[in-house]
Amino acid sequence: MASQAPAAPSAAPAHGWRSSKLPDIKLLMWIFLASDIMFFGTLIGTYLIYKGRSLTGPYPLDVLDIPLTTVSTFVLLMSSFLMVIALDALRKNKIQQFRLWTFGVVFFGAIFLGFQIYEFNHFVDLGLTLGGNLFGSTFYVLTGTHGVHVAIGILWLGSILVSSYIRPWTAKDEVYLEVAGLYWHFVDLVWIVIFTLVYLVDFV
Amino acid sequence: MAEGNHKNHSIRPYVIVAIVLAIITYLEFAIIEYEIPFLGQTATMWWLILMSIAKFVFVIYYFMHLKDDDAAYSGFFWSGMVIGFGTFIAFSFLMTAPASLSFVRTQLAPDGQFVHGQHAQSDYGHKGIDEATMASIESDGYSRNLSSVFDHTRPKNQQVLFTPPAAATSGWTLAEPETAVAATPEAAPAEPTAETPAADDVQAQAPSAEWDRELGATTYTQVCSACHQATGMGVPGAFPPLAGHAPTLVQVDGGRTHLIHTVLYGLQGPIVAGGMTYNSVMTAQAVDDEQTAAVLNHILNEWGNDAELPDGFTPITAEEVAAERGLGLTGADVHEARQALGLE
Repeated sequence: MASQAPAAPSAAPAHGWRSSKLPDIKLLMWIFLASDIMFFGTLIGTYLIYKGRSLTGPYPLDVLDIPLTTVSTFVLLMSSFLMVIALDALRKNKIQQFRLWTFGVVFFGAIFLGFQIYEFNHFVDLGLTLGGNLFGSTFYVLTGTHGVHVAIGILWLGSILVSSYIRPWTAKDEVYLEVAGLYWHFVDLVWIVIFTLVYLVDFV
Repeated sequence: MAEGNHKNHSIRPYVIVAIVLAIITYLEFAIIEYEIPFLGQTATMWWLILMSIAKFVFVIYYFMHLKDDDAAYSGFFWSGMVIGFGTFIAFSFLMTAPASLSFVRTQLAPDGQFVHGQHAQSDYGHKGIDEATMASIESDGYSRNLSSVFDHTRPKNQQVLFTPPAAATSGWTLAEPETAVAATPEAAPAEPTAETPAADDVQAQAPSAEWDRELGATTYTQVCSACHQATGMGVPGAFPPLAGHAPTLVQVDGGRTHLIHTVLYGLQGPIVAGGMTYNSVMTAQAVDDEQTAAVLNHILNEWGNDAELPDGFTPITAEEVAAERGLGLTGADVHEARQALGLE
């Protein structure tokens, strides 16, 4: 755990063959995100193609709740904001602030997830199930996959928070928080798209 | 690069971006919740998409700081975006194929001769079939149309669709077409002769060629389209297509009655339509005689189906429908009768 942002390759001994000055872990994360966006691209595409082809209800207009989802969207956006200021605090070696904001991210993420669990439960009560109709299948698979991403992000950031009490984090660890942050923002990014394409446009 | 100015880097830009994101989210909510009067549907849609793109860009350039970071990261991410979006575009053509194929179908082989001939040749090893034989084959009313070949829903490995229906085989092998017809329990008296394939008893009546088109269309929308879809293509695996399939039924003796029975009594059991097997339940439909006649005529004339109707076909009348009422059939009975007609 010793490498530091752009001056990177300290983790690996300076071999002549190393051609990138970029920190491996960050590069890896961006490549992962690139692949993940393709993954979500297919899920969103599938949702849109099967849109309006459900033969039985409930249909999107019967179940989706825009005010509720707007609140959870707002919560997720704000968690992204807390994420950047947590990283900023770590870079400035303000460890208490870094912990506080990271906790904030985890907390807001958990609220978002709570909204989603409530939403899913409510939808099932309304008769929308995974195998019930095309809307149910595509909706649950898409938003469920996103929810799993959020849950993983919460576990990841939560473990960073815990480890900051076991082993003091300092500014030189920033790349590890930055990578977790990139992942977190990405989850937010996907939700921005889902919120518009799955929730909002149905009500136009 | 970013490294140097961390120490006294202000979080102000982040705060501003967060506020902008919050405002945009509120606007997205408001535009839906309060239905801005001067914005049309299309405009609203584009504003929503535009706003989400704005949020997307803000998050990725500021929160994920691609703006100040190494270009390689941007390169990777946008490549992923391009491929993801390209996949999406490709995906969106998935469901457009059926419509274009049914167009090709009606253009190329309105009477289905092409497939039939091809079949006969492959089946009989190029021994050559003379015109009389061909006419005889076609006269049996089992002419397969191209829908079975071009149908989009057919899995690649499913060759089944070329298997002719049991009774049809007897027609194809030229083994007394009369026998095949006699086997039908509908006791349709008219035997199709080679010269006048469509000289059916009912169809021979005076051509009262009109029906209530408007009633047919609205009944279809209200009653049928939920399963068979507005496109008449049905839903692969769940609900059979009517486009390209319905006219093949009236080409069979007793097919007219079968169609009426299907609406009045439902249909339950495995059938083959458009080269795909369906095994689900169609319930008896609560429609009156006029509606039934109109909607059946609608189905038989929509989606290029009219091109595949037998010569001299006359629209189904409400009187015909009325005559079939009160038989007390079940969906399974209708299915049995369908098989007896030699229909799969």
